[in-house]
Amino acid sequence: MIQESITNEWAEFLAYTKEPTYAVRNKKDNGFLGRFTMDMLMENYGFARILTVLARGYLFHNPDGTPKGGDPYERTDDARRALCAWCSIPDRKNATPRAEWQFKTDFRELHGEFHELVEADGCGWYVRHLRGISNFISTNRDKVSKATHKLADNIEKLEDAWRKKVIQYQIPIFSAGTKGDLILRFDDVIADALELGALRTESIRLTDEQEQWLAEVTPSKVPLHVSRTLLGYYLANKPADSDWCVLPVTNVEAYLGSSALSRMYLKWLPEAVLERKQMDAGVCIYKMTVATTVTTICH
Amino acid sequence: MDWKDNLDPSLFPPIRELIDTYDHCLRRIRSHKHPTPGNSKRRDIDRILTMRDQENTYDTDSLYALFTGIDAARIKTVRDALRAEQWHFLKPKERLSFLQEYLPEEAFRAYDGLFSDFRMGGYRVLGDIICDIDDADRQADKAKLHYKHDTTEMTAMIDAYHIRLPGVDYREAVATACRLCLAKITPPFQAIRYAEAMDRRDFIFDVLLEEADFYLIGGGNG
Repeated sequence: MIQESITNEWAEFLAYTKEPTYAVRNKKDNGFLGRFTMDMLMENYGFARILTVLARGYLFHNPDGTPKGGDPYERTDDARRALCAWCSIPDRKNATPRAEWQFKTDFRELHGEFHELVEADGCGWYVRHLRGISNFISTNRDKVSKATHKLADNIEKLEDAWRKKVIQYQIPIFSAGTKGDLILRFDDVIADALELGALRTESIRLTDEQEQWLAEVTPSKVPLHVSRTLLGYYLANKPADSDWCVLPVTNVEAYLGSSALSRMYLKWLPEAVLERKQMDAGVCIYKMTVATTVTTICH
Repeated sequence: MDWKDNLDPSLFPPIRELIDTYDHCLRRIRSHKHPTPGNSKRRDIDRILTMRDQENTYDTDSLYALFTGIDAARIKTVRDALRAEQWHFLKPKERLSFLQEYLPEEAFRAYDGLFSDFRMGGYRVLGDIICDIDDADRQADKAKLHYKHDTTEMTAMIDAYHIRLPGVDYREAVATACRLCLAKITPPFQAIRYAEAMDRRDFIFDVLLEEADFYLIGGGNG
């Protein structure tokens, strides 16, 4: 799945908005999932980052990736509509029609404004991708890994779960009677996007010293591209006032195309290379001790 | 001819109202006995502070303590303002103006930096605290037993619950008071028929079981 560096956020935006291709080389190749893992697709993990990247793309960039002029704070409604379009999913055929005041999940009216995100029939990018994967699995059951079959077998349940998520995303922040904390809402996504600013359109390249250091310290059972990815992400996202950096494990796994990061590699990297504090599922914060000289190159 | 046709239509409204009051009274007592656990968002604040490597700089309990002197009405005003002014979308300078307008006390100035730091979902730190306190205030109001405009019947039933002897089930205490109120409308053995006509057999079993036992099962009906 790795094409661009993980530090190129515009490439990540494109991975969530361009028409995906579905192909498989062997049973271990999950490339047809796109920049998603089975956990993300089955359990809806990792969407805080996905939606934030999408919101940043629409708040700060023109369709070709160049910076958008004007005030992004004036465009929060545009970003919300883009998110609705991407998430859009038509109701079930036999569903009771929703009342005017209820949150809806079908945003087909946004097709004109965001034709790349939602079709005229109300199917947004994500549900099209979900169905695309499901169809691909169904027609290639013997070629794809057995673990992915459950996605095609449960596509209706996944679509129902997504409808519930799309409604939950629309709950206004600070509203009374919201059960449970840590729920994701479009309000949070857009606020985070404003805070994070424009997407990085360049990749960060490691220096020769950093490459050499990684080659020396990475244990043989951890692929070098994994520790390179972790260091690249660290250098790109470490805040100025702290050595600790938040690692969106689920999304990095989607980038790497395997869930081995949380299951194995993070545990196998010695503390001298990577120190981490575990947080909730899908996120940890980590520190890498290395000379932090960085060079950037354009793609 | 249906037996229901022999019932006095003028008795239905007061009996229906009393049964509603009885139901409402039980709901209120249950809510008082088992208040919904507070939907604390402290975990969210801890998470934000940890993600910013500030878990040792700020203590969540102390942050909540800052707001202890503020009355419920003002907390609600701040919550309404957070939503109305879209606090989470405010620019850095506007955040400080908001804080000075709604939390003008000097004690808050030391926290302007924290509350206006929106990294890692930081806009939720102030929002979470305000929403938590406001929710707790609402909950406390919901858990009250007596309200100003309660009817005499409601007050009688709530009082019966309140002063019941140790070991007496709350449902039994309320049912006894309800029977007394019912007797002022119609004799309880008559009320069985009205409750049955209203399809409230559960009320008969709860409140009029003795009468039902005597008149319907024990042969008193003959």
